[in-house]
Amino acid sequence: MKLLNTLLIKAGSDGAQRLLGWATLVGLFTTGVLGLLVVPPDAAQGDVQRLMYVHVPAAWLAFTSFGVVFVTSIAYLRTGRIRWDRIAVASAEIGVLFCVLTLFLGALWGRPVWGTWWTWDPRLTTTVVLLLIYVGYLSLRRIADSPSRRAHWSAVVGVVGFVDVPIVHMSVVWWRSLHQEATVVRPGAPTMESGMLFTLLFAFLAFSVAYGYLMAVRLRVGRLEDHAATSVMSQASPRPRRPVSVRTAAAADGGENRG
Amino acid sequence: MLTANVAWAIARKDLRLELRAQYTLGSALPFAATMLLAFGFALGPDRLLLVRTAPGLLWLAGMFAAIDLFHRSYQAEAADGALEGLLLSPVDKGAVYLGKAAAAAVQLGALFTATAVTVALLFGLPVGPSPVLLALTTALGVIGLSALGSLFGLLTVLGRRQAALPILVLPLATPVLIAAIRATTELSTGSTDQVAGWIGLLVAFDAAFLATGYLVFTHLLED
Amino acid sequence: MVVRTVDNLGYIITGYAVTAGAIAAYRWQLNHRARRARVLITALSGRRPASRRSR
Repeated sequence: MKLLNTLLIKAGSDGAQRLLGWATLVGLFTTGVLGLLVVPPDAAQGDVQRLMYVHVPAAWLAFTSFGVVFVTSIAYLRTGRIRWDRIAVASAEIGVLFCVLTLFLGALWGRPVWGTWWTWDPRLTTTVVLLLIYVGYLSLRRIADSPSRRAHWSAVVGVVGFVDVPIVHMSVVWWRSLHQEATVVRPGAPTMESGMLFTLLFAFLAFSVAYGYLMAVRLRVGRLEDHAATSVMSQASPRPRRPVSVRTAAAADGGENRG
Repeated sequence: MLTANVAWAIARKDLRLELRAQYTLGSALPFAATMLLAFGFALGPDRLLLVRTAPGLLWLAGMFAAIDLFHRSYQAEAADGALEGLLLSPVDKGAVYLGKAAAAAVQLGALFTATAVTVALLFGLPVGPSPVLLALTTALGVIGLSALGSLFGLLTVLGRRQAALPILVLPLATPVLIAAIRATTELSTGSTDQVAGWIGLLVAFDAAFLATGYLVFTHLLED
Repeated sequence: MVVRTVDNLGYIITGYAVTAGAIAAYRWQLNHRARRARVLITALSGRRPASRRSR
Protein backbone atom coordinates (compact mmCIF):
# COMPACT_ATOMS: atom_id res chain seq x y z
CA MET A 1 0.00 0.00 0.00
CA LYS A 2 2.87 2.33 0.80
CA LEU A 3 4.38 1.38 -2.52
CA LEU A 4 1.13 2.15 -4.31
CA ASN A 5 0.94 5.51 -2.59
CA THR A 6 4.45 6.56 -3.58
CA LEU A 7 3.90 5.22 -7.08
CA LEU A 8 0.79 7.32 -7.47
CA ILE A 9 2.46 10.41 -6.11
CA LYS A 10 5.32 9.92 -8.54
CA ALA A 11 2.92 9.30 -11.39
CA GLY A 12 1.11 12.53 -10.54
CA SER A 13 3.99 14.80 -11.50
CA ASP A 14 3.76 16.52 -14.86
CA GLY A 15 6.83 14.92 -16.38
CA ALA A 16 5.95 11.42 -15.26
CA GLN A 17 2.44 11.85 -16.56
CA ARG A 18 3.62 12.94 -19.98
CA LEU A 19 6.08 10.08 -20.07
CA LEU A 20 3.36 7.61 -19.06
CA GLY A 21 1.10 9.04 -21.72
CA TRP A 22 3.64 8.42 -24.44
CA ALA A 23 4.43 4.97 -23.05
CA THR A 24 0.73 4.16 -23.13
CA LEU A 25 0.36 5.34 -26.69
CA VAL A 26 3.42 3.44 -27.91
CA GLY A 27 2.51 0.34 -25.89
CA LEU A 28 -1.06 0.11 -27.13
CA PHE A 29 -0.02 0.84 -30.70
CA THR A 30 2.67 -1.85 -30.57
CA THR A 31 0.15 -4.28 -29.07
CA GLY A 32 -2.10 -3.58 -32.03
CA VAL A 33 0.70 -4.12 -34.55
CA LEU A 34 1.90 -7.29 -32.82
CA GLY A 35 -1.57 -8.73 -32.38
CA LEU A 36 -2.90 -7.85 -35.81
CA LEU A 37 0.10 -8.17 -38.10
CA VAL A 38 3.07 -9.92 -36.54
CA VAL A 39 1.73 -12.91 -34.63
CA PRO A 40 0.60 -15.90 -36.77
CA PRO A 41 -3.08 -16.90 -36.53
CA ASP A 42 -4.14 -19.59 -34.09
CA ALA A 43 -4.15 -23.13 -35.52
CA ALA A 44 -7.59 -24.03 -34.18
CA GLN A 45 -9.49 -20.73 -34.26
CA GLY A 46 -7.80 -18.86 -37.09
CA ASP A 47 -7.61 -15.10 -37.04
CA VAL A 48 -10.40 -14.41 -34.51
CA GLN A 49 -8.10 -15.55 -31.77
CA ARG A 50 -6.23 -12.25 -32.25
CA LEU A 51 -8.95 -10.72 -30.08
CA MET A 52 -7.37 -12.53 -27.14
CA TYR A 53 -4.52 -10.02 -27.04
CA VAL A 54 -6.93 -7.27 -26.02
CA HIS A 55 -9.69 -9.29 -24.35
CA VAL A 56 -7.59 -11.09 -21.74
CA PRO A 57 -5.51 -8.05 -20.65
CA ALA A 58 -8.70 -5.98 -20.43
CA ALA A 59 -10.29 -8.61 -18.19
CA TRP A 60 -7.19 -8.82 -16.04
CA LEU A 61 -7.15 -5.05 -15.70
CA ALA A 62 -10.82 -4.90 -14.75
CA PHE A 63 -10.33 -7.42 -11.95
CA THR A 64 -7.15 -5.70 -10.75
CA SER A 65 -8.90 -2.33 -10.67
CA PHE A 66 -11.66 -3.71 -8.48
CA GLY A 67 -9.02 -5.26 -6.24
CA VAL A 68 -7.46 -1.81 -5.91
CA VAL A 69 -10.90 -0.40 -5.02
CA PHE A 70 -11.19 -3.02 -2.27
CA VAL A 71 -7.77 -2.31 -0.78
CA THR A 72 -8.11 1.46 -0.91
CA SER A 73 -11.66 1.31 0.45
CA ILE A 74 -10.39 -0.54 3.50
CA ALA A 75 -7.55 1.97 3.77
CA TYR A 76 -10.09 4.81 3.67
CA LEU A 77 -12.32 3.27 6.31
CA ARG A 78 -9.32 2.74 8.58
CA THR A 79 -7.59 6.08 8.10
CA GLY A 80 -10.32 8.44 6.91
CA ARG A 81 -7.89 10.07 4.49
CA ILE A 82 -9.72 11.39 1.43
CA ARG A 83 -6.78 10.43 -0.77
CA TRP A 84 -7.75 6.73 -0.55
CA ASP A 85 -11.27 7.55 -1.60
CA ARG A 86 -10.01 9.41 -4.65
CA ILE A 87 -7.86 6.44 -5.64
CA ALA A 88 -10.77 4.07 -5.07
CA VAL A 89 -13.20 5.96 -7.26
CA ALA A 90 -10.60 6.48 -9.97
CA SER A 91 -9.91 2.77 -10.02
CA ALA A 92 -13.61 1.90 -9.99
CA GLU A 93 -14.29 4.12 -12.97
CA ILE A 94 -11.42 2.66 -14.97
CA GLY A 95 -12.42 -0.83 -13.85
CA VAL A 96 -15.95 -0.31 -15.14
CA LEU A 97 -14.56 0.93 -18.45
CA PHE A 98 -12.38 -2.14 -18.87
CA CYS A 99 -15.12 -4.46 -17.61
CA VAL A 100 -17.47 -3.19 -20.32
CA LEU A 101 -14.65 -3.54 -22.81
CA THR A 102 -13.99 -7.10 -21.66
CA LEU A 103 -17.61 -8.12 -22.09
CA PHE A 104 -17.82 -6.42 -25.48
CA LEU A 105 -14.65 -8.08 -26.74
CA GLY A 106 -15.77 -11.40 -25.32
CA ALA A 107 -19.03 -11.14 -27.23
CA LEU A 108 -17.13 -10.27 -30.41
CA TRP A 109 -14.90 -13.26 -29.90
CA GLY A 110 -17.68 -15.60 -28.87
CA ARG A 111 -19.88 -14.90 -31.85
CA PRO A 112 -17.66 -16.51 -34.53
CA VAL A 113 -16.16 -19.16 -32.23
CA TRP A 114 -19.13 -20.33 -30.19
CA GLY A 115 -21.82 -19.05 -32.57
CA THR A 116 -23.39 -16.81 -29.93
CA TRP A 117 -22.81 -13.36 -28.50
CA TRP A 118 -23.50 -14.48 -24.99
CA THR A 119 -23.43 -17.72 -23.09
CA TRP A 120 -24.06 -18.33 -19.41
CA ASP A 121 -20.51 -19.38 -18.86
CA PRO A 122 -19.42 -18.93 -15.21
CA ARG A 123 -16.70 -16.46 -16.05
CA LEU A 124 -18.98 -14.34 -18.22
CA THR A 125 -21.74 -14.36 -15.63
CA THR A 126 -19.39 -13.43 -12.80
CA THR A 127 -17.97 -10.59 -14.90
CA VAL A 128 -21.39 -9.15 -15.62
CA VAL A 129 -22.41 -9.33 -11.95
CA LEU A 130 -19.13 -7.64 -11.07
CA LEU A 131 -19.87 -4.89 -13.58
CA LEU A 132 -23.31 -4.32 -12.08
CA ILE A 133 -21.89 -4.10 -8.55
CA TYR A 134 -19.44 -1.37 -9.55
CA VAL A 135 -22.00 0.47 -11.65
CA GLY A 136 -23.98 0.53 -8.40
CA TYR A 137 -20.85 1.85 -6.65
CA LEU A 138 -20.57 4.73 -9.10
CA SER A 139 -24.29 5.53 -9.03
CA LEU A 140 -24.26 5.61 -5.22
CA ARG A 141 -21.65 8.36 -5.32
CA ARG A 142 -24.10 10.64 -7.07
CA ILE A 143 -26.68 10.59 -4.30
CA ALA A 144 -24.58 11.28 -1.22
CA ASP A 145 -25.09 14.74 0.25
CA SER A 146 -21.57 15.43 1.49
CA PRO A 147 -18.08 14.46 0.31
CA SER A 148 -17.36 12.64 3.54
CA ARG A 149 -20.58 10.65 3.32
CA ARG A 150 -19.93 9.89 -0.30
CA ALA A 151 -16.51 8.54 0.57
CA HIS A 152 -17.77 6.42 3.47
CA TRP A 153 -20.69 4.96 1.55
CA SER A 154 -18.74 4.06 -1.50
CA ALA A 155 -15.95 2.57 0.59
CA VAL A 156 -18.53 0.30 2.21
CA VAL A 157 -19.75 -0.81 -1.22
CA GLY A 158 -16.14 -1.25 -2.33
CA VAL A 159 -15.53 -3.63 0.56
CA VAL A 160 -18.86 -5.47 0.47
CA GLY A 161 -18.79 -5.81 -3.32
CA PHE A 162 -15.38 -7.41 -3.38
CA VAL A 163 -16.22 -9.77 -0.52
CA ASP A 164 -19.15 -10.88 -2.66
CA VAL A 165 -17.07 -11.73 -5.73
CA PRO A 166 -15.77 -15.17 -4.68
CA ILE A 167 -19.20 -16.21 -3.41
CA VAL A 168 -20.82 -15.06 -6.66
CA HIS A 169 -18.26 -16.95 -8.68
CA MET A 170 -18.67 -20.11 -6.62
CA SER A 171 -22.44 -20.04 -6.92
CA VAL A 172 -22.33 -19.38 -10.65
CA VAL A 173 -19.78 -22.12 -11.34
CA TRP A 174 -21.86 -24.56 -9.42
CA TRP A 175 -25.10 -23.43 -10.99
CA ARG A 176 -23.70 -24.02 -14.47
CA SER A 177 -22.06 -27.33 -13.68
CA LEU A 178 -25.52 -28.75 -13.02
CA HIS A 179 -26.48 -28.55 -16.67
CA GLN A 180 -23.17 -29.08 -18.36
CA GLU A 181 -22.71 -27.80 -21.88
CA ALA A 182 -19.94 -28.70 -24.28
CA THR A 183 -16.70 -27.56 -22.71
CA VAL A 184 -15.52 -24.37 -24.30
CA VAL A 185 -12.12 -24.66 -25.89
CA ARG A 186 -10.11 -21.67 -24.88
CA PRO A 187 -6.52 -21.08 -25.88
CA GLY A 188 -4.65 -22.36 -22.87
CA ALA A 189 -1.44 -20.79 -21.70
CA PRO A 190 0.70 -23.96 -21.42
CA THR A 191 0.45 -24.96 -25.07
CA MET A 192 0.83 -21.46 -26.38
CA GLU A 193 3.37 -20.76 -29.04
CA SER A 194 6.20 -18.49 -27.86
CA GLY A 195 5.34 -15.61 -30.24
CA MET A 196 1.77 -15.60 -28.99
CA LEU A 197 2.89 -15.75 -25.39
CA PHE A 198 5.23 -12.83 -25.94
CA THR A 199 2.47 -10.77 -27.56
CA LEU A 200 0.11 -11.55 -24.71
CA LEU A 201 2.67 -10.63 -22.08
CA PHE A 202 3.47 -7.44 -23.96
CA ALA A 203 -0.24 -6.63 -24.10
CA PHE A 204 -0.49 -7.17 -20.35
CA LEU A 205 2.36 -4.74 -19.84
CA ALA A 206 0.90 -2.17 -22.23
CA PHE A 207 -2.51 -2.34 -20.58
CA SER A 208 -0.99 -2.02 -17.12
CA VAL A 209 0.87 1.10 -18.24
CA ALA A 210 -2.39 2.41 -19.66
CA TYR A 211 -4.03 1.77 -16.28
CA GLY A 212 -1.29 3.69 -14.51
CA TYR A 213 -1.61 6.57 -16.90
CA LEU A 214 -5.39 6.76 -16.74
CA MET A 215 -5.20 6.55 -12.94
CA ALA A 216 -2.75 9.45 -12.80
CA VAL A 217 -4.93 11.60 -15.05
CA ARG A 218 -8.14 10.60 -13.30
CA LEU A 219 -6.65 11.40 -9.89
CA ARG A 220 -5.71 14.86 -11.04
CA VAL A 221 -9.19 15.41 -12.43
CA GLY A 222 -10.64 14.14 -9.15
CA ARG A 223 -8.63 16.70 -7.19
CA LEU A 224 -9.72 19.47 -9.53
CA GLU A 225 -13.36 18.48 -9.32
CA ASP A 226 -13.25 18.28 -5.53
CA HIS A 227 -11.58 21.66 -5.45
CA ALA A 228 -14.27 23.08 -7.73
CA ALA A 229 -17.02 21.58 -5.59
CA THR A 230 -15.46 23.09 -2.46
CA SER A 231 -15.27 26.53 -4.09
CA VAL A 232 -18.90 26.32 -5.13
CA MET A 233 -19.89 25.40 -1.60
CA SER A 234 -17.84 28.14 0.05
CA GLN A 235 -19.30 30.70 -2.37
CA ALA A 236 -22.82 29.49 -1.75
CA SER A 237 -22.52 29.61 2.02
CA PRO A 238 -24.06 32.73 3.63
CA ARG A 239 -20.90 33.67 5.53
CA PRO A 240 -17.71 33.55 3.46
CA ARG A 241 -14.58 32.65 5.36
CA ARG A 242 -12.61 35.70 4.25
CA PRO A 243 -13.79 39.18 3.23
CA VAL A 244 -15.05 39.15 -0.32
CA SER A 245 -13.43 41.63 -2.66
CA VAL A 246 -15.57 43.29 -5.30
CA ARG A 247 -13.83 41.34 -7.98
CA THR A 248 -14.38 37.96 -6.33
CA ALA A 249 -18.01 38.76 -5.72
CA ALA A 250 -18.48 39.62 -9.39
CA ALA A 251 -16.73 36.44 -10.38
CA ALA A 252 -18.94 34.52 -8.00
CA ASP A 253 -22.02 36.02 -9.61
CA GLY A 254 -20.74 34.99 -12.98
CA GLY A 255 -20.01 31.53 -11.70
CA GLU A 256 -23.42 31.18 -10.21
CA ASN A 257 -25.14 32.32 -13.36
CA ARG A 258 -23.07 29.83 -15.23
CA GLY A 259 -23.87 26.92 -12.95
CA MET B 1 -23.88 -8.84 26.22
CA LEU B 2 -24.53 -5.20 25.56
CA THR B 3 -24.51 -5.83 21.81
CA ALA B 4 -27.15 -8.49 22.18
CA ASN B 5 -29.26 -6.19 24.38
CA VAL B 6 -29.12 -3.34 21.88
CA ALA B 7 -29.88 -5.62 18.95
CA TRP B 8 -32.80 -7.13 20.82
CA ALA B 9 -34.20 -3.71 21.72
CA ILE B 10 -34.02 -2.54 18.12
CA ALA B 11 -35.52 -5.75 16.77
CA ARG B 12 -38.34 -5.67 19.31
CA LYS B 13 -39.12 -2.07 18.45
CA ASP B 14 -39.22 -2.85 14.72
CA LEU B 15 -41.44 -5.87 15.21
CA ARG B 16 -43.83 -3.95 17.45
CA LEU B 17 -44.03 -1.31 14.72
CA GLU B 18 -44.72 -4.05 12.20
CA LEU B 19 -47.44 -5.57 14.35
CA ARG B 20 -49.16 -2.21 14.61
CA ALA B 21 -48.79 -1.11 10.99
CA GLN B 22 -49.23 -4.58 9.48
CA TYR B 23 -47.04 -3.55 6.60
CA THR B 24 -45.67 -6.96 5.59
CA LEU B 25 -48.94 -8.76 5.15
CA GLY B 26 -50.98 -5.66 4.32
CA SER B 27 -48.81 -4.15 1.62
CA ALA B 28 -45.72 -6.20 0.72
CA LEU B 29 -47.61 -9.46 0.29
CA PRO B 30 -50.24 -7.98 -2.06
CA PHE B 31 -47.34 -6.54 -4.06
CA ALA B 32 -45.71 -9.97 -4.33
CA ALA B 33 -49.04 -11.56 -5.24
CA THR B 34 -49.61 -8.97 -7.98
CA MET B 35 -46.19 -9.74 -9.36
CA LEU B 36 -46.87 -13.48 -9.32
CA LEU B 37 -50.11 -12.88 -11.19
CA ALA B 38 -48.19 -10.83 -13.76
CA PHE B 39 -45.64 -13.63 -14.13
CA GLY B 40 -48.55 -15.97 -14.70
CA PHE B 41 -49.89 -13.73 -17.48
CA ALA B 42 -46.45 -13.48 -19.03
CA LEU B 43 -45.85 -17.24 -19.03
CA GLY B 44 -49.34 -18.38 -19.97
CA PRO B 45 -51.38 -21.21 -18.49
CA ASP B 46 -48.95 -24.04 -19.36
CA ARG B 47 -49.03 -26.08 -16.17
CA LEU B 48 -45.62 -27.76 -16.61
CA LEU B 49 -43.85 -24.51 -17.42
CA LEU B 50 -45.39 -22.84 -14.40
CA VAL B 51 -44.33 -25.62 -12.04
CA ARG B 52 -40.81 -25.53 -13.46
CA THR B 53 -40.43 -21.76 -13.07
CA ALA B 54 -42.34 -21.49 -9.79
CA PRO B 55 -39.30 -21.57 -7.42
CA GLY B 56 -37.61 -18.78 -9.37
CA LEU B 57 -40.76 -16.70 -9.49
CA LEU B 58 -41.30 -17.20 -5.76
CA TRP B 59 -37.87 -15.83 -4.92
CA LEU B 60 -38.07 -12.99 -7.43
CA ALA B 61 -41.47 -11.82 -6.25
CA GLY B 62 -40.43 -12.16 -2.62
CA MET B 63 -37.21 -10.28 -3.18
CA PHE B 64 -38.74 -7.32 -4.98
CA ALA B 65 -41.41 -7.03 -2.31
CA ALA B 66 -38.66 -7.26 0.32
CA ILE B 67 -36.77 -4.31 -1.21
CA ASP B 68 -39.77 -2.17 -0.35
CA LEU B 69 -39.78 -3.54 3.18
CA PHE B 70 -36.16 -2.48 3.77
CA HIS B 71 -36.98 1.00 2.57
CA ARG B 72 -40.02 1.15 4.82
CA SER B 73 -38.03 -0.08 7.79
CA TYR B 74 -35.59 2.83 7.53
CA GLN B 75 -38.27 5.35 6.69
CA ALA B 76 -39.65 4.78 10.17
CA GLU B 77 -36.12 5.25 11.49
CA ALA B 78 -35.72 8.61 9.74
CA ALA B 79 -39.07 10.07 10.79
CA ASP B 80 -39.21 12.71 13.55
CA GLY B 81 -35.45 12.89 13.93
CA ALA B 82 -35.30 9.38 15.33
CA LEU B 83 -32.14 8.69 13.38
CA GLU B 84 -30.30 11.55 15.06
CA GLY B 85 -31.25 10.09 18.41
CA LEU B 86 -29.91 6.74 17.34
CA LEU B 87 -26.71 8.37 16.10
CA LEU B 88 -26.16 10.17 19.36
CA SER B 89 -26.88 7.22 21.60
CA PRO B 90 -23.70 5.66 22.94
CA VAL B 91 -24.32 2.17 21.64
CA ASP B 92 -22.50 -0.15 19.27
CA LYS B 93 -23.82 0.77 15.82
CA GLY B 94 -23.11 -2.73 14.59
CA ALA B 95 -25.62 -3.96 17.15
CA VAL B 96 -28.22 -1.61 15.69
CA TYR B 97 -27.55 -3.19 12.32
CA LEU B 98 -27.94 -6.71 13.71
CA GLY B 99 -31.22 -5.70 15.33
CA LYS B 100 -32.55 -4.21 12.11
CA ALA B 101 -31.45 -7.30 10.19
CA ALA B 102 -33.09 -9.63 12.70
CA ALA B 103 -36.40 -7.79 12.55
CA ALA B 104 -36.21 -7.67 8.75
CA ALA B 105 -35.52 -11.41 8.66
CA VAL B 106 -38.63 -12.11 10.71
CA GLN B 107 -40.70 -9.87 8.43
CA LEU B 108 -39.25 -11.48 5.33
CA GLY B 109 -39.86 -14.91 6.80
CA ALA B 110 -43.55 -14.11 7.11
CA LEU B 111 -43.58 -12.56 3.64
CA PHE B 112 -41.90 -15.54 1.99
CA THR B 113 -44.09 -18.06 3.78
CA ALA B 114 -47.20 -16.28 2.59
CA THR B 115 -45.73 -15.87 -0.92
CA ALA B 116 -44.85 -19.56 -1.02
CA VAL B 117 -48.44 -20.45 -0.17
CA THR B 118 -49.60 -18.18 -3.01
CA VAL B 119 -47.14 -19.82 -5.41
CA ALA B 120 -48.23 -23.28 -4.31
CA LEU B 121 -51.85 -22.35 -4.99
CA LEU B 122 -51.36 -20.44 -8.25
CA PHE B 123 -48.65 -22.48 -9.91
CA GLY B 124 -49.13 -25.85 -8.25
CA LEU B 125 -45.66 -25.97 -6.73
CA PRO B 126 -45.38 -29.17 -4.66
CA VAL B 127 -43.88 -28.95 -1.18
CA GLY B 128 -41.75 -32.06 -1.70
CA PRO B 129 -40.73 -34.77 0.71
CA SER B 130 -38.74 -32.63 3.18
CA PRO B 131 -40.54 -29.48 4.34
CA VAL B 132 -37.95 -29.00 7.09
CA LEU B 133 -35.14 -28.51 4.56
CA LEU B 134 -37.40 -26.20 2.56
CA ALA B 135 -38.00 -24.11 5.68
CA LEU B 136 -34.26 -24.07 6.38
CA THR B 137 -33.51 -22.91 2.83
CA THR B 138 -36.09 -20.16 3.12
CA ALA B 139 -34.75 -19.06 6.48
CA LEU B 140 -31.15 -18.91 5.27
CA GLY B 141 -32.09 -17.11 2.04
CA VAL B 142 -34.18 -14.63 4.00
CA ILE B 143 -31.32 -13.95 6.41
CA GLY B 144 -28.96 -13.33 3.50
CA LEU B 145 -31.36 -10.86 1.89
CA SER B 146 -31.95 -9.12 5.22
CA ALA B 147 -28.20 -8.82 5.80
CA LEU B 148 -27.83 -6.92 2.54
CA GLY B 149 -31.08 -4.99 2.65
CA SER B 150 -30.62 -3.78 6.23
CA LEU B 151 -27.16 -2.52 5.35
CA PHE B 152 -28.02 -0.52 2.24
CA GLY B 153 -31.64 0.26 3.14
CA LEU B 154 -30.22 2.99 5.38
CA LEU B 155 -29.02 4.83 2.29
CA THR B 156 -32.57 5.28 1.03
CA VAL B 157 -33.30 7.75 3.82
CA LEU B 158 -29.98 9.63 3.82
CA GLY B 159 -28.50 11.62 0.98
CA ARG B 160 -29.82 14.09 -1.52
CA ARG B 161 -31.88 11.64 -3.47
CA GLN B 162 -33.18 8.24 -2.57
CA ALA B 163 -30.62 5.56 -3.31
CA ALA B 164 -31.66 3.10 -5.99
CA LEU B 165 -31.72 0.18 -3.59
CA PRO B 166 -32.29 -2.56 -6.23
CA ILE B 167 -29.19 -1.53 -8.17
CA LEU B 168 -27.10 -1.98 -5.06
CA VAL B 169 -28.75 -5.02 -3.56
CA LEU B 170 -29.73 -7.22 -6.51
CA PRO B 171 -26.27 -7.83 -8.01
CA LEU B 172 -24.84 -8.48 -4.56
CA ALA B 173 -27.67 -10.90 -3.83
CA THR B 174 -26.87 -13.06 -6.88
CA PRO B 175 -25.53 -15.98 -4.79
CA VAL B 176 -28.59 -15.97 -2.53
CA LEU B 177 -30.91 -16.00 -5.51
CA ILE B 178 -29.10 -18.82 -7.29
CA ALA B 179 -28.61 -20.98 -4.23
CA ALA B 180 -32.13 -20.49 -2.84
CA ILE B 181 -33.82 -21.03 -6.19
CA ARG B 182 -31.80 -24.14 -7.01
CA ALA B 183 -32.34 -25.62 -3.56
CA THR B 184 -36.07 -24.89 -3.69
CA THR B 185 -36.34 -26.42 -7.14
CA GLU B 186 -34.57 -29.59 -6.09
CA LEU B 187 -36.52 -29.94 -2.87
CA SER B 188 -39.82 -29.54 -4.68
CA THR B 189 -38.88 -32.16 -7.28
CA GLY B 190 -37.75 -34.56 -4.58
CA SER B 191 -34.03 -34.80 -5.32
CA THR B 192 -31.96 -33.83 -2.34
CA ASP B 193 -28.37 -34.74 -3.27
CA GLN B 194 -27.31 -31.19 -4.24
CA VAL B 195 -29.27 -29.40 -1.53
CA ALA B 196 -26.62 -29.72 1.16
CA GLY B 197 -24.16 -27.80 -1.03
CA TRP B 198 -26.57 -25.00 -1.73
CA ILE B 199 -27.45 -24.71 1.94
CA GLY B 200 -23.74 -24.57 2.72
CA LEU B 201 -23.35 -21.75 0.24
CA LEU B 202 -26.23 -19.86 1.85
CA VAL B 203 -24.67 -20.31 5.29
CA ALA B 204 -21.35 -18.98 3.99
CA PHE B 205 -23.08 -15.97 2.40
CA ASP B 206 -25.08 -15.18 5.53
CA ALA B 207 -22.03 -15.41 7.76
CA ALA B 208 -19.89 -13.29 5.43
CA PHE B 209 -22.44 -10.51 5.08
CA LEU B 210 -23.66 -10.39 8.64
CA ALA B 211 -20.04 -10.07 9.74
CA THR B 212 -19.16 -7.48 7.09
CA GLY B 213 -22.35 -5.54 7.75
CA TYR B 214 -21.67 -5.55 11.49
CA LEU B 215 -18.21 -4.12 10.87
CA VAL B 216 -19.05 -1.46 8.27
CA PHE B 217 -22.53 -0.28 9.27
CA THR B 218 -21.16 2.48 11.48
CA HIS B 219 -19.38 3.97 8.45
CA LEU B 220 -22.69 4.42 6.63
CA LEU B 221 -23.86 6.56 9.52
CA GLU B 222 -20.75 8.71 9.43
CA ASP B 223 -21.50 12.32 8.59
CA MET C 1 -13.96 -19.71 -46.98
CA VAL C 2 -13.60 -16.19 -48.28
CA VAL C 3 -16.82 -15.09 -46.61
CA ARG C 4 -15.73 -16.53 -43.25
CA THR C 5 -12.40 -14.73 -43.37
CA VAL C 6 -14.03 -11.41 -44.18
CA ASP C 7 -16.53 -11.92 -41.36
CA ASN C 8 -13.84 -12.56 -38.82
CA LEU C 9 -11.78 -9.66 -40.07
CA GLY C 10 -14.73 -7.45 -39.25
CA TYR C 11 -14.88 -8.81 -35.70
CA ILE C 12 -11.16 -8.34 -35.17
CA ILE C 13 -11.03 -4.81 -36.54
CA THR C 14 -14.09 -3.83 -34.52
CA GLY C 15 -12.54 -5.27 -31.37
CA TYR C 16 -9.25 -3.44 -31.69
CA ALA C 17 -10.86 -0.23 -32.87
CA VAL C 18 -13.38 -0.17 -30.04
CA THR C 19 -10.63 -0.84 -27.49
CA ALA C 20 -8.57 2.06 -28.78
CA GLY C 21 -11.68 4.21 -29.14
CA ALA C 22 -12.91 3.53 -25.61
CA ILE C 23 -9.59 4.40 -24.01
CA ALA C 24 -9.26 7.52 -26.16
CA ALA C 25 -12.83 8.57 -25.42
CA TYR C 26 -12.30 8.15 -21.69
CA ARG C 27 -9.09 10.16 -21.88
CA TRP C 28 -10.92 12.87 -23.78
CA GLN C 29 -13.76 12.89 -21.27
CA LEU C 30 -11.25 13.30 -18.43
CA ASN C 31 -9.76 16.26 -20.26
CA HIS C 32 -13.20 17.74 -20.68
CA ARG C 33 -13.99 17.30 -17.00
CA ALA C 34 -10.69 18.85 -15.98
CA ARG C 35 -11.33 21.84 -18.22
CA ARG C 36 -14.80 22.32 -16.81
CA ALA C 37 -13.53 22.12 -13.24
CA ARG C 38 -10.77 24.63 -14.00
CA VAL C 39 -13.24 27.03 -15.57
CA LEU C 40 -15.44 26.77 -12.50
CA ILE C 41 -12.54 27.31 -10.10
CA THR C 42 -11.28 30.28 -12.09
CA ALA C 43 -14.75 31.80 -12.23
CA LEU C 44 -15.23 31.45 -8.50
CA SER C 45 -11.82 32.61 -7.33
CA GLY C 46 -10.97 35.16 -9.98
CA ARG C 47 -7.53 33.67 -10.48
CA ARG C 48 -6.04 30.48 -11.81
CA PRO C 49 -5.44 27.78 -9.25
CA ALA C 50 -2.00 26.35 -8.65
CA SER C 51 -1.61 23.37 -10.92
CA ARG C 52 -0.82 20.85 -8.17
CA ARG C 53 -3.19 21.73 -5.44
CA SER C 54 -4.59 18.92 -3.36
CA ARG C 55 -7.83 19.05 -1.39
